[in-house]
Amino acid sequence: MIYFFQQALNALQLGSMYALIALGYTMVYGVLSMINFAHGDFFMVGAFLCFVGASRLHLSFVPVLLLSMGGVTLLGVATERIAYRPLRNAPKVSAIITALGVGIFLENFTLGLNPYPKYVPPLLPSFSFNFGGVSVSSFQLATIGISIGLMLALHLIVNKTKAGLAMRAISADRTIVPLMGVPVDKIIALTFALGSGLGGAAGVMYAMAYPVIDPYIGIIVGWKAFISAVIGGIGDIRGAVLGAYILGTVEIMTAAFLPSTYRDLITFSLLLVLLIFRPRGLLGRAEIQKV
Amino acid sequence: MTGPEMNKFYNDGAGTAALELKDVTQHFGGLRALCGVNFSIAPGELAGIIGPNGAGKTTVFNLITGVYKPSRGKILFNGGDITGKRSSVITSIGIARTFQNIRLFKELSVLDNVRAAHYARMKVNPLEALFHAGRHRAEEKRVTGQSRELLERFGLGGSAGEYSKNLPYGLQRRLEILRAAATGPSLILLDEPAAGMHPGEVEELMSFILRLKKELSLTVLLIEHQMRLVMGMCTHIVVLDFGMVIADGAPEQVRSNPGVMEAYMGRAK
Amino acid sequence: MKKTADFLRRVCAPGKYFNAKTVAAAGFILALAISRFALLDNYLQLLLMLIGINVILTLSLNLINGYMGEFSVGHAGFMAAGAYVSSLLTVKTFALYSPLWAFPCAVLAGGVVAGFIGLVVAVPSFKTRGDYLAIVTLAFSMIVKSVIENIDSVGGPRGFLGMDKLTTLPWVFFWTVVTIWIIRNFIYSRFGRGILAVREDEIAADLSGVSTRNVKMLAFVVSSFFAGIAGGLYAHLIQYISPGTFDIIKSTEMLVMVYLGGVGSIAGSILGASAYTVLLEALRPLGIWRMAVMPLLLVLLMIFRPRGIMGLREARWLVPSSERDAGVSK
Repeated sequence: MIYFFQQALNALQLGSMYALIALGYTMVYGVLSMINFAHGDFFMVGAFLCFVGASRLHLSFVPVLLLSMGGVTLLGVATERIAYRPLRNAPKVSAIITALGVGIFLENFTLGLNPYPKYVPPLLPSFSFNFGGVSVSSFQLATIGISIGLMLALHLIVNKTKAGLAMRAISADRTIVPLMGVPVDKIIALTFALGSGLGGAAGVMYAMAYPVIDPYIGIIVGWKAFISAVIGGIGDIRGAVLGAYILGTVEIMTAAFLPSTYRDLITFSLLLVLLIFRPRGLLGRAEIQKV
Repeated sequence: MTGPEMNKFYNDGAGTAALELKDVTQHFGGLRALCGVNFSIAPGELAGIIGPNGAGKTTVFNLITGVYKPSRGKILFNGGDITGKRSSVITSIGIARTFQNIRLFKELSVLDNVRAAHYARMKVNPLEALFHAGRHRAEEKRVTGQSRELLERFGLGGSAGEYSKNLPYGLQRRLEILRAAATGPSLILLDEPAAGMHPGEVEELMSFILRLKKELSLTVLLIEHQMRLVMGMCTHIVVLDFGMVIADGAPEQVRSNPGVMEAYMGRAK
Repeated sequence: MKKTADFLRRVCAPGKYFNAKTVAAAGFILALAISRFALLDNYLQLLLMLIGINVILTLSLNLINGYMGEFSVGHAGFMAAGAYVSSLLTVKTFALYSPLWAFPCAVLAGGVVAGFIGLVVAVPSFKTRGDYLAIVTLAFSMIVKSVIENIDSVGGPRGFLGMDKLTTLPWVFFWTVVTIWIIRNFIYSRFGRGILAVREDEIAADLSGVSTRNVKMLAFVVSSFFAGIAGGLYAHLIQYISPGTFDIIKSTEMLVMVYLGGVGSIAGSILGASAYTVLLEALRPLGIWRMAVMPLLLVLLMIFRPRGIMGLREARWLVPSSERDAGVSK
């Protein structure tokens, strides 16, 4: 039973990380109906900024977190401005391919600067609490706590501010909203900023949990986060969080009770089964066919 | 009438309708779009469905063509039950349609729009097609010839090679009707074919439809918004309001129906 | 870019002597001669073979992503299936007695197994479209990869080797021509117009009598079959395969080649695959930075020419003679 709780805690940690990344996918999808395939690589850049902050600049945890979030925010906004905005009215696949291109560029650019995997020194004093046999490390506590904090902040921004209202309006109907005086470009940039910032934070969380990083970590983690968003129903913010925790749980529990090589097999099979029964994800509403 | 023809006549039964809706009801969530709709169209008729916006006219088409499954009721085509069949199956047994908002294959040529609609009438199997077998080539040649002929006969021959999205609006409407005709239907459903046209164009389109109907011996059921227009053309009119049939008969009958006057004409003003 | 395309079109114009058949025959003889008498050094031969394999992959993916307008991101999975099945056959089954026909049969078997997997992937595509279908294809490719990783007799994650270098230039040329021919036949058939109609408007396609399920199944089977063929050729060229060979990066590479050349154009796919393969080699002096330059070029291309080099246009010699004056579409 203690083993189970220990694993549940791990699931919570992994799920939090996925959730932060999944939010970036889902928010961008909400306003642009576009899968930002480079988002996983934004997250990777966040992890590398964490490395730079921790081992080159010798910063402590909070400045490193801010550095990563800030750096990735800038990256996200710049990418949107330079690469995606010119394609907003182009065929949808062009935008997707561009996103893939940006992703490959980021991976290999980072690889050019860091040909070998990097070790990120621990940013927090390493200690653990013991709750009736279940040990909680300081990293886990920080990851879970900060993620939930950031998600609450996002919730407030999206639901309680004017910009958040505009964001929701754009995802509801992109043709009408500009006619009502909403500065669409600014709101889209803001969406990228928020999503990327969360991705940057996830990069720090990842580097704390798995301190050896390479430029390709964004691919598989990014896809997993994307899948989380899909499980929840892409475009739906609560769905992304829900999907992320479900995926985290499934992954940790498979690895805990079955050989670890079965993890991807089971994760992806479950995804397929889910999509067969709920083609639009758990919270996604069925698309009504208009004829 | 000769013997076999006579037999057919009696077997099919003089009373067999080309299309018959029996107690067709459709709910969307809590919304009731259609409620117990009954009507039938005789073979060879040119019938019209009219009614104010939101009366459920397009829903009727969607149910007939299998886009939705009715919540209740039955749809018979030439006496056979087609309720809940897949759209492509329904089309292949002889019901074709057009759409309120034109839905052409925009980035295909005019010719290919028509050829694509021959799909169900072609017998070539995948292996013959992939290996460019003789039967495939012969079939392609036949279909290309037939499609060209159809386009030429109905005034689109000159644009066969153009992207359909580049046609002017009026011709796009016609092409959509021809694409429907190319599926080899006996019943064709036209959803507001005259929408967005000025009176001159409407006249032309109407004679186009009449000619098509005559030359391909079709049964036609069309939705139209403008009552005046339908009155002049259709021999049979069904009036829908709030998902219910409020009148069904010849134009004069419908015109003099007090319910129609009140419900339809009154609101249309 | 427009000038290049015009130039290519002029060169590719069908003439009395210059038509698809003579080019294919001459090319095959040339390929035989090159590999028999070593007219080109091994490196150039390898490059040509990689181009051929990439052309097969690109065309196969273009069928789904370009002509049918769906977005498959898991094509490496089909390639993996073909690679492993054919390698198992040549290494384990034909190890002692290996007649001349063993290799083509093994490659064919790899294609058939991949095609079967494609049939399974086609089923979710009946209901699921767009981004969600993309996820389905990704999930399938990840499952294929995971399954291979968990089978110890094929080396699991360590990979599989022991194949002889059976892939030669004539074989690659042969399969490339077969792929081009069959995919062309597909596109200019009732089924091809079916998938084009699905791309343009699935509901209208259905209501024009196109059995959307059948054409989707057929497209997936043909596409994954050829991806499997490419996998078999690749495995017997490089002589080592591992689950990591067929990861998302491989799928992404195929996507890049398709969209570089132009969706919905066979000539575009040939061009895209060749340009990508050659460029990748040409940029080799940049060392580790070349993979950072490549995607930048791609992004620039997408911004300035969002439909790829050829767009929807086709080289005339790739169009069946009966179709040349039938219309501009494809």
